[in-house]
Amino acid sequence: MGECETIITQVAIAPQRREAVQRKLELREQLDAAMETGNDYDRVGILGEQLDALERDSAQLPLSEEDYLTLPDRHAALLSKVEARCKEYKANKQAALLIELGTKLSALKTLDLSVCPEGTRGESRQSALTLLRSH
Amino acid sequence: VLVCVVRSLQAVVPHNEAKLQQLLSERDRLLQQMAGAVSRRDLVKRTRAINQQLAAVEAQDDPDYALMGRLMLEQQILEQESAQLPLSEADFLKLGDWHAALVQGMHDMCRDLARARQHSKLKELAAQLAELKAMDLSSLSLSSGK
Repeated sequence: MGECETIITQVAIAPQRREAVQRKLELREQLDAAMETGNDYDRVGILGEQLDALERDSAQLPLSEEDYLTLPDRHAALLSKVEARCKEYKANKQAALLIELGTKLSALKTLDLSVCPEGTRGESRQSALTLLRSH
Repeated sequence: VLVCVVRSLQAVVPHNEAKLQQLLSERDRLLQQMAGAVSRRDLVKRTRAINQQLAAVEAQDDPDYALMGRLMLEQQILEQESAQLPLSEADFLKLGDWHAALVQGMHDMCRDLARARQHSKLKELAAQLAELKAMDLSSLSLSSGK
């Protein structure tokens, strides 16, 4: 199951993307606030440029925003899938395969998911997703 | 009266001889099987220990599948080892009872030989009975250490 390695790798590189997402959320909030006041065009311009630069920079990151945002869901789905497969191997007494996949399952379970969207600035993951995807 | 006693003893002798040969043959077979008892006993103990560990892992809410796999693999290796042993587990588990029955059979035969005044055979069998009784049966125990 190469998906396990993918998730493990993606969690490892998630902190960079988290920084970018957090910065993006901050800039969007500031930009939205500046636009609501309607007078300070300089500020709106500066914030807009900062946001564009951030978008360009974050496009170079190895983990895409979409992959980052869906990481917890994909992790949970993979856990269920791997566990179901382990149960199959157990029932069929396929010991060698069970050892291999059981080790991957343990690695998946011990992943530190605090870098994932759930913890983004204390907001709920859903609201972060909505905000990021609305622009 | 003496003639009657002699005739009855003569009738008993061939019957005793066949039974004696059977007992001696059984004794040889028991000794042969006892030679493989230690290996089988160790394997039975190891298998039971693995089975217990596996049951404990399986009973967990969030079982460690990798550990489960390793235990299953060990179980399979033990099954292969088991197939190579000359003494089967079923025969191993019967050895204690078999030994007791043989001791009793030889004891009865000694009594019959004494009654039939076959002193030479009695002496021989009594020595074998004593050997059988003195046999170390600790290899049949599954409860204590090796």
